[in-house]
Amino acid sequence: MKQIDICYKYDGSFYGMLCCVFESFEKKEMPIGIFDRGGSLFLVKNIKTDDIKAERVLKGVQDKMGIIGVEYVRLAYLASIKDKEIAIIHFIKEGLNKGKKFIEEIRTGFGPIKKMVAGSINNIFLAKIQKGIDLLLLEKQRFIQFVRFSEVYNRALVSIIEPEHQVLPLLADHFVQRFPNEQFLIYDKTHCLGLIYTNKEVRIERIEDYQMPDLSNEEKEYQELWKMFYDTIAIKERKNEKLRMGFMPKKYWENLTEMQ
Amino acid sequence: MDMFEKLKILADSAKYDVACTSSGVNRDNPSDGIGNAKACGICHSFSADGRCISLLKILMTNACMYNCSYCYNRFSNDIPRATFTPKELAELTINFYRRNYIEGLFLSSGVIKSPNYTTELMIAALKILREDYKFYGYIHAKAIPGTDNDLIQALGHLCDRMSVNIELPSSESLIALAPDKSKNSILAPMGFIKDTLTENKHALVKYKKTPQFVPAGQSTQMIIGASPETDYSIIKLSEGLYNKYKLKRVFYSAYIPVVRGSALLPSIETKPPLLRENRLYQADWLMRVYGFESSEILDEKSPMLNPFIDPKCNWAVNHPEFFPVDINTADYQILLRVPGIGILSARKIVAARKWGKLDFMHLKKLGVVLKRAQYFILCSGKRAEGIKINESKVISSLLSKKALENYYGFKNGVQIGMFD
Ligand code: SF4
Repeated sequence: MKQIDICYKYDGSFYGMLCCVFESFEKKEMPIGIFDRGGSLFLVKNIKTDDIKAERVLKGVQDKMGIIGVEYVRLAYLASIKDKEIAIIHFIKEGLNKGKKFIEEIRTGFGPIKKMVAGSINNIFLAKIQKGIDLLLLEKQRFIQFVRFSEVYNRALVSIIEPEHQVLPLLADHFVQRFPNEQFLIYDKTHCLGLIYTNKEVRIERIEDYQMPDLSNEEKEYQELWKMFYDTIAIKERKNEKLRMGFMPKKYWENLTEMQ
Repeated sequence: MDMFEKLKILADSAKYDVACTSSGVNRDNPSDGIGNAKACGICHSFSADGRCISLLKILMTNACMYNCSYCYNRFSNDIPRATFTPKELAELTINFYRRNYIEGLFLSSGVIKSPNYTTELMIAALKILREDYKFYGYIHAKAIPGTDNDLIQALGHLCDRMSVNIELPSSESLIALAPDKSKNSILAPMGFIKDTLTENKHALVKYKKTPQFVPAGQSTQMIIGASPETDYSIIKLSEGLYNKYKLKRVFYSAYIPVVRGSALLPSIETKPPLLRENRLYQADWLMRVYGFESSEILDEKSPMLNPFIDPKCNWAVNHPEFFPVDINTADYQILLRVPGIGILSARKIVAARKWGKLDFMHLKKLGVVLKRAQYFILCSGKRAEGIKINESKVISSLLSKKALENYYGFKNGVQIGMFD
């Protein structure tokens, strides 16, 4: 692959990103950057999203790396990783060469144990992807804990979160299985996306600037009850701020009912 | 009395129970109700003391007719009293659950009218949850000593975990401090739960439809520092409970003085022995997960855990004949005994050495704390380079400077504000 001083621009979607991968492989070129919003100092090549090309990339990944390879690409796409798209091109390139063993290697860090000691997992981009995915999955766990719903619009549940990574697709199963008979919206303010579950169907939609509606008195009352429970349950003789912050980092407090 | 007042009183009275885990059982929602249960357990928040909040931890009532002297809810204590109706409690639980505040309910109670009456109230609340709301989330319920077996059984079919709190780690202390209870009244329901659990497991194998009985097992709690038992007798008791009653967990709760001017209890100014509690958890962990026996951790001659060194390191320091162990050949169980090697790093070692011989550099990458471990291990027959082994060096590598002074003080019997 030759390095070229050109940027790719795409629509930000998963398939759009896969089309950037397709372009890079087909032209045997490595762009200097890939982005979806804003402008660039470099010459820009617009990459159109084409489902057929995207699916060809996915099929190639699955044939060589198995279903887990596809899962990795998907998770990497959801994670906030610097130069994510470039990293994913490197990841897929390595994976196509090495096949199934490759995922096991980067996942456990055991395979290339000699290289691991020598410096880094030979390719800095692979390490970035692994780290990004780890952080994404950690953040998913955090929001399973820390999503707080308010009841609005006559029994619908709404929560606003500000995740670093695109966690919504990973949260869907958990909340749908838990609340099959509710209607809910989890709004990701960082990425302007909403996870919507109504009439037993779930979807993710782009929503610009969603605001929490006014709360009913009943809702306010439950929030007060919860806050009071939260304050009461702490044993003051055991106060331990450091411990609390370790488990529940401050960045989540803004959207936690009990911390208001 | 409004809901706000009630919740405040009944949460305040419940907070001294330390168990708040929601783990141990997986239950799906067949789509006709609310909630499910995850075996890993989920903490939804952390209180100012850093403890996990997973369950709505609450009492049915704090209007207790008993008078256990260590207890905040004893009837002679002048505090406001409240009682939930089963419906109120169920509604509150569901509304907290829907908002993703909690994983479920931890229902305990003071004894009102009689143990049976109290248990009936609890059963009524859980029935509303399970049957009317079709709640599939986690429920932990307290079995009240003195309750009839058939009621305990009914309760057990509605909840995931049950616990009978021992509270005081010896019958002498029970007689002195909990005159309405006895060793027997506590152990009887524990034994009944264990037997019913065993029967239930057999029945489940035969008939899939058998209703489950406390699928997440039973646990108990002991108060530490209210009575004079040694750590040795406490962990021996725990070991017995794990073996005999198949308990899932024993919880230890540092005593927080709630009584002024009692001749039998620590004075009101006493700080809760948090460090001692922590060491007991470590010792408990060694027994449950690392395969230690209580007699390996302590004995009659040195019956207290050294507060200045964790019990695993302490064992290692006192058993030089066991070491060094070779990282490339030692069994998993043996690796676990090395200070600086935890469960995760031991597993990683076993997996990684299949790929080739490990050396000290590799170990670091696998998460082994070499600063501690290096004195106890070999890599392919070789010690870490330039290492000299003598007791004081080893010990000082395991401890901070301050802890070091205190460590020797403790060993020599000087008790410098030991459990402050
Ligand atoms: S029976 Fe329970 S609630 Fe009542 S005084 Fe004794 S420990 Fe406290």
